[in-house]
Amino acid sequence: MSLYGFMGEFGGRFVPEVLMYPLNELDEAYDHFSRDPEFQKELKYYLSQYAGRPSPLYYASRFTDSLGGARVYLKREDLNHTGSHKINNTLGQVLLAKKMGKKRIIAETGAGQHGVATATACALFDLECQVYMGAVDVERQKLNVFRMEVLGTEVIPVTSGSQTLKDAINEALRDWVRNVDHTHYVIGSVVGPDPYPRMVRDFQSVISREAKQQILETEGKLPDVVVACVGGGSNAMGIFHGFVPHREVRLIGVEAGGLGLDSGKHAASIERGSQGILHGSLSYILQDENGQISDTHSVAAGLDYPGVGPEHSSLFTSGRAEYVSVTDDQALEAFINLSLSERSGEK
Amino acid sequence: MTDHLAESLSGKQKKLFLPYLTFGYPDVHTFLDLVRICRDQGADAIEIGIPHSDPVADGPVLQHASYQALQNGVTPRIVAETLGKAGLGVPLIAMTYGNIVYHYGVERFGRDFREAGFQGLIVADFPLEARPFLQPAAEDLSIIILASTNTSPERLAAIGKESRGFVYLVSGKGTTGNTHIETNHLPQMVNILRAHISIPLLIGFGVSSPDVARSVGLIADGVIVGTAIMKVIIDHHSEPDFRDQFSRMIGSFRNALDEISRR
Repeated sequence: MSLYGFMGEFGGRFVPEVLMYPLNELDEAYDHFSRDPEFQKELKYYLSQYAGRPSPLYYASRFTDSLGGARVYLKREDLNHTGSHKINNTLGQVLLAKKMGKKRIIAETGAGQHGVATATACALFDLECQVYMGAVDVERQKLNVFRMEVLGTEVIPVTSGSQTLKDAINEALRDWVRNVDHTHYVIGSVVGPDPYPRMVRDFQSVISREAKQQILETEGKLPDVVVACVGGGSNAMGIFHGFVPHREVRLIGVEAGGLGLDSGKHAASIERGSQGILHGSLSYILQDENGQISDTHSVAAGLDYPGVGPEHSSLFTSGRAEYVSVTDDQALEAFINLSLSERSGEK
Repeated sequence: MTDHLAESLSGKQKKLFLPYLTFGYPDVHTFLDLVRICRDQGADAIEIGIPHSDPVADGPVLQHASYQALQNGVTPRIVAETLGKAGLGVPLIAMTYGNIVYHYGVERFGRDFREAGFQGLIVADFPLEARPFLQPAAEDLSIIILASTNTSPERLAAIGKESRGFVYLVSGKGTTGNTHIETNHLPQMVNILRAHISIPLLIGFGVSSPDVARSVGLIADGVIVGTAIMKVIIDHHSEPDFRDQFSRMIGSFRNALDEISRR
């Protein structure tokens, strides 16, 4: 880690001066607590007793048969409390914020998974919580808005810009600029200014710690390939991290190809983007010829984001990980094939 | 390089007044008229906002102006070309976000904007640590660095040492136009900065009226006024006597600062 928070040639802290103080404060607190056995013990307790970890590594036997090639295992992060991997990060960050004496939590959310996971952690640790959510997403993800509200969180619709995830992050950053003294901003992915990309990765790396142990127990060897979808890239960073040192394991990140890469309606930041600065870090982003951020599209609301975590950019340029994209139609077709082939009693 | 901006600003025996205008709002023609009015009403330099799609340091007023300017088709190249041709005869300072400069090419940005009459550059999301990224433009433009009310004394010293043109002290915590000025805290920060700088020290964000300009002007070398000006433009630009209204408003900021200059 270089002085200004770079991961290889990417990352950094490109934020208004007023945010340098809370970022330094967060950096120091994280540095301290990440090495504090008591903190780690407490986090581990909540991850297992509250969130339901470890999540199973399921051998998808029928899906494997139907494909006729690779033996496919699914790391079932969907079985965690609140239904996604997001809880791994929010429990870590909210517990950290509590130790730092913060009174208020803010977060952004796209699909609502991170918002629900943040609201849940705040309810658990008894902290005030407000979540910024694009007005378009509020409308199309009503159930998650309801879940957040039930947990005592206030959902603030964002009407600026494209009214989706990118704008929700902008609005959360503006809130933080106003309320730096007592507020912690829980970023939901491996994006944002340092230390967020590495801190969120660390909280999510529980996925690869478990997966590595589980695959060694069942297969007696490491996997040939690890595949994960990439929006901002937190679940991918979580499952890649433990395998990065094992160069024989191929790492493949799958970006949202939307209606096709040539349609202009996609979220393939690495495959079709270029280097630039968005939300506090230098990474691959989708932008026009003047450096304005592009609108994106994906059927998966959580992948609908014009950037990618800086560490993914680094893994891409070093060649350690490969990045491909699939279209909305391809993703839906794969989802249906998986569901049909794993349906009990049929093949 | 010679710090032309600091030289021209330091030479004035009065409190400095720097209005901010978003390029291309409400349209390029009116914008140029407004810049000339600012110049004629005694602005010491003019901050020109180059719009960005994601202005995280800006409140609703400047966000609206940026959005509209982008809808009008404003690009960094158009900003440089238009102002280069206009030859306004007042120092210009570019205010924008990092990705605009980075994508344009930092060295080319410096060269093109100097040729267009710019003397300084402010990048709202580039703190002191990001200053080396702008080095390729530093021969052509004075790179102005922002300080904030939660900046530590050590950082203030470093910012004072690195900043060119002037030091931009943000008056409190908040986005543009949405800032609670920390009046109790500012004088102490000004004192710390003064020990490290010979260039001017300007305060901006939240300077919402000539009265506020007068009180903030007392503790600094001058003020930057953005949202208050842009709000008048947004609310009144379609009225028949708009240019007169605008001229009077700019004049009232100038007068407020001139009153304290004479004390």
